[in-house]
Amino acid sequence: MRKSVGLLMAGIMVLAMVLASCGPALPEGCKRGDVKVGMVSDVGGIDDASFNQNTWEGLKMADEKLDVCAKFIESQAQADYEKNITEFAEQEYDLIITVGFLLGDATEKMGKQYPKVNFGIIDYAYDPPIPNVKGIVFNVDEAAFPIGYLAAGWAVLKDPADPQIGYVGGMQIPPVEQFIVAYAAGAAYYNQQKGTNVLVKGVYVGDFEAPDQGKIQGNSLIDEGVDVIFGVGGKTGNGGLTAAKERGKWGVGVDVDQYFTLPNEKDILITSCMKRLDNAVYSVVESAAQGKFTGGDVYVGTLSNNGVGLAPYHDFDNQIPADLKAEIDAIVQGIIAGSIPTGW
Amino acid sequence: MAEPGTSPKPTFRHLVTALPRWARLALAAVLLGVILAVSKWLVLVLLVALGLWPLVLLLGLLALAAISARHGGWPWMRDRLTSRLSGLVVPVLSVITALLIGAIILILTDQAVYRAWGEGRVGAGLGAGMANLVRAYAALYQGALGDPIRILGAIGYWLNGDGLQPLLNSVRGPSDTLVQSVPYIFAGLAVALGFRGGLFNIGAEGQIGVGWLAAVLVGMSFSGLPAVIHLPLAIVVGAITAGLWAAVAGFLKARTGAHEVITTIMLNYVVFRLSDWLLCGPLEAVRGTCRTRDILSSAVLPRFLDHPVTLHWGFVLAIAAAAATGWFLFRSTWGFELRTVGANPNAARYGGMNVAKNYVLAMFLSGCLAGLAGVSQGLGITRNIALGFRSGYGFDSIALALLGKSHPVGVVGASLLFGVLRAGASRMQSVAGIPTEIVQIVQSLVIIFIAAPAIIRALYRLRQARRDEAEVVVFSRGWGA
Repeated sequence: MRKSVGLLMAGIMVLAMVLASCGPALPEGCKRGDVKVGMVSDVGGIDDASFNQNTWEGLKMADEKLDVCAKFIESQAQADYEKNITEFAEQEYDLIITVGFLLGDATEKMGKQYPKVNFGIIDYAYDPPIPNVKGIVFNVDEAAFPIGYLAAGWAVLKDPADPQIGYVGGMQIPPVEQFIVAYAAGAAYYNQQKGTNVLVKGVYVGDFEAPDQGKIQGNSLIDEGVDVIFGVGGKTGNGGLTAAKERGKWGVGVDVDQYFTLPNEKDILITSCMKRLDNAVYSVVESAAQGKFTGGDVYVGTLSNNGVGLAPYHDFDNQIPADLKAEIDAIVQGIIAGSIPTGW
Repeated sequence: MAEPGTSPKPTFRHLVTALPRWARLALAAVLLGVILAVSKWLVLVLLVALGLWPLVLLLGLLALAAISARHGGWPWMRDRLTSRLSGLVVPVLSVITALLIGAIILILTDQAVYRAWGEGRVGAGLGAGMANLVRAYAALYQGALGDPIRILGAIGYWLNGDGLQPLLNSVRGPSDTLVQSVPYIFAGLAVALGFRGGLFNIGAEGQIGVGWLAAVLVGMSFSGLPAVIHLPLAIVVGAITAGLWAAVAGFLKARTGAHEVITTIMLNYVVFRLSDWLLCGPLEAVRGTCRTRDILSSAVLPRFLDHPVTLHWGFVLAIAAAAATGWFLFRSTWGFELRTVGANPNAARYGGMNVAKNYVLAMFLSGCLAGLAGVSQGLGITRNIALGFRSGYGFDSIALALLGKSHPVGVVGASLLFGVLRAGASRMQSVAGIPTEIVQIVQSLVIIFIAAPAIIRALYRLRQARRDEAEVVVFSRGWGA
């Protein structure tokens, strides 16, 4: 018996050596000559139905359409960021995309450690710039402003006696505030144009992963008379949309066209405020694949380059009055032209 | 080592004990100085040895065989091996079994396998699954222990005078493993010490945060202090702050009987939310980063070698903490009291021990150890603290304490195992596209098998447990106990 255990262990040892030495030269599914692109997620994970996932969508698109090989590593903790970036850099990846401002510090340190590797970081920009790191940021306020206008118009249409719009936010951090401030400014612009008095109310829950809290706050907003809820903040914001659905009110999605990602709430979404991480990442990877990557600068997603945008009205396409739609289009053009400030 | 009693010649040990006290101290100081001076090379040797562990094991066996020649050959060697390794049989078989089950899960979750099966190509599907499995486990191995061929090649390079960098690159895996195990060792010791004192400390996660935060705060202030003062100060303040934080739960239990499971969980939430506010508010260095300033260089736990080998002095601290915990629990009077209270508070009270004091003390020490996990991360790796620093070390540590049977040596072993799995996971994900979650499955299976050794014994038809394995450790008691 003991002998058999010993034999087993010897076998495992040999196997370990063999396994270790026949290790792969290339990652799975990569061809020689591919541009290798690695993505390091933050602690939210690749399936967060939000920005990590959306970034990965862009990379997958690049993997399919271009001579690009894309891989990802999910970080489990703050202490893992540098280690995971090192993993890709040591495997001689050409471009490493780090997702989220939480990786700002690790990306900066590793960017300086590996000056020959190109980096792109979502939602962050460096001042002073780092020559091999490209910031990828989004003027989400450009899309949130017309959405505030639309929500106000919808509230006036559905609840003329007491029109109010609201939001359920995640943490009160600048990337979230950027949505909210412009959303409120859009509603204020509506009031100014139409002489109405649409109120804007909302809460920051302080968490991105608390749909139950988001729902509770959404319900209390509705109790106070809110007609349209803008859910900004991962799963917490989605909780706010759930409240709107259950109470027969309306909602606005965020980051992606949530008509497709929230099957339960899709029929109350008048639109979504899209932050096209996939388009942005794709275009950065494309430039790298063509050898035209530029570091030290910033990609800014705007209305004009489709980096941000309004999702289609979907089920509400027939219900939103044509003149309101026309006004929204005019505002979008105004923001692109720079004639309408978004308040951010 | 020769046995001092039987040897007629004066041994080294006798020579040393014969020296006067000052000379012994001086000798110790010189020895420590030498170790410090060559620590870089010692660590490099350690990492290479880890990477080439089968070779090292073989050398060890050969050495043992050489020694056994003087003691009567094979029977002596066999007895020695059995007595030393018998405790390892169940854990090692548990790991192997868990990896085998993990392999089955890997194949059964592989989309390529189902695609081939759907087209009726059963053999091809299995082949693809096996290929992916080999790729995944090879990546896991290399990520955690390095590529032995590459290490040997790099040593050749270095001997050839072509620099150390290839060798450093090749031992990144072993280094990552040790780095990952550092917080596990501290947090596992924390929970184990709590268990020994009859306390179930679920608050390690929060205490890690407190220690991390306090150490970083000290580390970024006091500019101008020399490192010999600043670094120990940051470490000690981090540990004690976390200890005091944990002692609150011990105090509540001692005074009011509030169960520590409830209080430590709730104290966790207090830390999480307070740190959210602190990091995105008063302590934020640059608006929009939710991160403190970096600590001053005088408070950094130094690394032994250059990038990408990130192993830092926290590892030495962790091993020292394990030794100190072992000494405290099993060699000191206070430790004896603490264990007695843990085993049976009523008997301890009857024996004249102060149960309340021991609850507070156990929580304080447990918190100090957990805090050191945060300290080592903050001063050794991240050098600041940011939103989202939480990592689950605190919750994994409960499993580690169980896995290590609440014994410091066991905890270190279990932490190294978790370190291996966690260090290899990211390589496995990047190379083979296998989610890191598979590693959590393997970890969980290992814990199940070790907690229920009868499964392993039945599977491999092992003999019944010996006396030492049958030792019962009180992990926790129910409500109101």
